[in-house]
Amino acid sequence: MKQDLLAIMPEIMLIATAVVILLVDPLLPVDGRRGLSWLGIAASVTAAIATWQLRDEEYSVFSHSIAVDKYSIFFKILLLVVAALAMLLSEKYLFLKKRLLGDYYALILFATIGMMVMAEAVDLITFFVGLELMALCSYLLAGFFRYQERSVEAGMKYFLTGAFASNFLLFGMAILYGLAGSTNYQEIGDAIRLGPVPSGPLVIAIVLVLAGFAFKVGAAPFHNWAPDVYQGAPTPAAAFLAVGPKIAAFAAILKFFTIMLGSQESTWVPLMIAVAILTMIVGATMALLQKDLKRMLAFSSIGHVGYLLLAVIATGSSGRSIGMSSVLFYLAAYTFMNMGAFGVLVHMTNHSSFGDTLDDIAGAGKSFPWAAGIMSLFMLSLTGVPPTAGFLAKFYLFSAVVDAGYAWLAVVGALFSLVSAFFYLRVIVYMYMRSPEQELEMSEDGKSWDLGLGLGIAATGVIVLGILPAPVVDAAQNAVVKLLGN
Amino acid sequence: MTPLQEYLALSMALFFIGTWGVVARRNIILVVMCIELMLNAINIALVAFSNYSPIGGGRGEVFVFFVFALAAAEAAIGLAIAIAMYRLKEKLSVDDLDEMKG
Repeated sequence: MKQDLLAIMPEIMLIATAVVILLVDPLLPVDGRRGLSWLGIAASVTAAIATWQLRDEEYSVFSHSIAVDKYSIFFKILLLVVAALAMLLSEKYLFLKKRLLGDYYALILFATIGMMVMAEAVDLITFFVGLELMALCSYLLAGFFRYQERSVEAGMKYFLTGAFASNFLLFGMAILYGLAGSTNYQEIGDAIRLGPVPSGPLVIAIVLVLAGFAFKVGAAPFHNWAPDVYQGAPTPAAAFLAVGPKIAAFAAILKFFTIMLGSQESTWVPLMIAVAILTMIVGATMALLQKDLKRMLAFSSIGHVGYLLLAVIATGSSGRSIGMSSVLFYLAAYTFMNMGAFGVLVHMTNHSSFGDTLDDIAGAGKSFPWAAGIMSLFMLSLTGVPPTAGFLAKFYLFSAVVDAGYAWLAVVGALFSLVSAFFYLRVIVYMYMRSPEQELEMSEDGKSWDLGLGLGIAATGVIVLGILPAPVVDAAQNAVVKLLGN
Repeated sequence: MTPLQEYLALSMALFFIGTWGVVARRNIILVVMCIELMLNAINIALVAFSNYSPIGGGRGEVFVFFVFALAAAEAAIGLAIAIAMYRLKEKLSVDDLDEMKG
């Protein structure tokens, strides 16, 4: 029992902090609430340190439903970084929009707990609870500006599609349970491998699980919610929603498709290849057409999901180890560059009448020299230009795909990545080479240390991962060793 | 004893009715109801599997309790967002979710 509680200490800390925030929030005047964000950030950092302390031992606790090992520790620390960055980006924005409420931070913390549980669960029931904790909090975060039609619409769309998708995933999991007679990942995997399992229901389960996950990460043809949600949600919440749930879902996808369905590669690999290619097509082509930067970033994140799925496919064959660790490294790089790009939009919105469109960002090189500079860095990283994190992540990922014997898929991925260069670089061109049609109204109210710190961390992350990737690559490789033992 | 297949047929049928409802219904409250119907279909499957499973009996029933809890939370959150939407738009149809497109 003591062991159990020790293993989930980071989650307990976050729950306690979130509850304290909810209790204290109504007692504070609006100005006093700004401290709540620091409380949440402090809790995330402490929880990350506590998670790191658990790295030397492996815990399989709560009747083997939660496994705290190097794999889940990698994901949990990454998720806590996402949570802390999201809170750094949020404070001033919420204050200026007059929606600075403790609920927001509590929701971010609860969603983070859900994601951490998704990453560490090795039991369908536990995974399901984590998934829904994350999902329910994300719907509310998307609709957090409840006096704005767009935000409420984003929340509603996210809720309807997300709940619908969860049901497919859940039905798939129910069938897996029915086939294996167990809810434990490992036992299900053994039952399916050693068989005999009726193949019809198994295929249905695989299709349902794949469809459910495709919805959750925003892979085509189930991506339609993503652009609307990111556009309508408050920008810092969109940053969180574009990164956190994806990391958690990929943590779970890797576990599902190796531990449980590793013996069924011949069924799910072709399906996932189709999904990945379609996702890359949609991501690259639709992003070209967008005038709204948040929608553009949404389609760009759809494209990145396509690349990540390629690496998941690579885990389904001989190149397992490198394929899996490339997913982990890619997610780390994606965290910093995507949070950073959204963060720059938050910065510009705070300081001016910026409206998230390409025309609004024209001339930003002059009016926001610093922000435009690091926005260029994030855009170059998203494109995959050395020496940024995005380059190494893509290089690592595509070489894993080639190693796995899917050279043609890597070529397709590289081609779409080339197409994507067009719309990323277009942002830079607009910022430096176009003069604005209409000058933005600048305001001095937006000064915020938190946001500056958040952007600084994101930019540093992008550069450090691009120049000195070794520690993170090592961590990613160590993290996947145990999963491969199966 | 009723064979497992019949329970599963019922579960599948309810699941498809729910799916059809989510896709075809325009009123958001009805869509939420259909989502709950899908969850109940899954519950039937889980309980049936649990009852007929030679080894992992009981797990499915435990699972169902968590699905109940989720269904309650989901309904609360869905209706809360629906109320926020109604206050802004005075309408509650899926077709009114048309602010953003492209």
